Amino acid sequence: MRVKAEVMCELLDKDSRIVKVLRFESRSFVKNFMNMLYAILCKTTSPAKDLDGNNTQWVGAAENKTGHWCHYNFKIILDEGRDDAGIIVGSGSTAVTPDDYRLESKIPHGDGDNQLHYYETQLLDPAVADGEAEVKVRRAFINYGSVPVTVSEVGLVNNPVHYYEDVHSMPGPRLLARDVLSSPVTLDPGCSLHVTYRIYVGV
Amino acid sequence: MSGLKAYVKLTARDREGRVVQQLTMESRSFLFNLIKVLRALFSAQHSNPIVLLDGSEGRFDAYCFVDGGTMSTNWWCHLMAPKEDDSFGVVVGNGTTPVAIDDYNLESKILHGEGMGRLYYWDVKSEEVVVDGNTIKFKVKRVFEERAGSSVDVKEVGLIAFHRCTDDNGDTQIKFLIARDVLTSTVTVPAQGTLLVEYEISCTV
Repeated sequence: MRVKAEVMCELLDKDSRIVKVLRFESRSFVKNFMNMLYAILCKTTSPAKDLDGNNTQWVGAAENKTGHWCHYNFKIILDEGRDDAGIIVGSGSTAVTPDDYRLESKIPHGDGDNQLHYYETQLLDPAVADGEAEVKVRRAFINYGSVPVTVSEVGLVNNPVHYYEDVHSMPGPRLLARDVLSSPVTLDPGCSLHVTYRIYVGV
Repeated sequence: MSGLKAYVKLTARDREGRVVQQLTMESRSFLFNLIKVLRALFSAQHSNPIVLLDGSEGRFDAYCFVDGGTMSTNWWCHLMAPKEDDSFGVVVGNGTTPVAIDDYNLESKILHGEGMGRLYYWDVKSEEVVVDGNTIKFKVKRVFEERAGSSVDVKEVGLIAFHRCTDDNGDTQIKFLIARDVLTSTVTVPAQGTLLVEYEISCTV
């Protein structure tokens, strides 16, 4: 069976009542994601492009290293207030291409107008239900500004860490998936949006 | 699309190198273990549970830290087995039980060897990521050779991954199944012939 991803966007009003749900199959794993899998499965390095368009690489193996060393390349969970990785949202509508490396127009973290407050990106425990195995990544966003904010694209971004002798050799978060929403979601002041990526397989 | 798809292609050749049988099918086989691996990697934490080939629980360390003194070797989840090693990489068997989401091993793996009923396992090879239109794909593949002079039937194929993390927390080495497919029809490796198994993993945006 395929590994699929499903995106769910839940819009909540300022009283935390769900007022709109958008649920669709993600069409959006991009080249960075496939190169990540390739590096992992084939014990090699492969090209990656960070959110700024810099060419860097995935490191799928490190052998016989000595000295100070820290290596966790594939992290997605991220703290509140960080809009440089985890699940991010934007206002772009251009169709996804394999070479996409960033959202078209990211909505920045913040509590002012035309911003959204980014809460922690969470990762749920893997589970099996109805013959499908799944893992979920989710994040909540709240509009604390005074004007509506419209979300029309979402993305999943990895934040690799790879230090050797205190030098960070894999700088830059990388976009793994990008989706343009079939219909934009508008957050009025005080409203929140919960975005969930459900990655799953079934037999 | 789409999601992440895998196609399995098997090509059997006789001792003269002529193709005698081919089978291409969409893999239906990614397993719960693969989801656990993705979850572990995304979490970047130690001690993520994974089911090993004997059904026991192993530990997947998705975070490697060395503060000096330890010789560190780390690979996450690779398939690149060397020749003559049937413990991981692309593997074949003759089981026919339908795939279950929590399968943790082939039903009946064909062992490496040159005797009757065995196959010689060559090293696993890969082809890097390419983009073809809106499709992004790469391959892993392995050749198996019959050397005893008696044909061997292959009915199932799988991917067994090898994870190792050596750091200040110790040396974790585990192997586990991430994909298994029961073939839609048996592929026979002729006496003195070969079998090429290719997994093409792709997604289309």
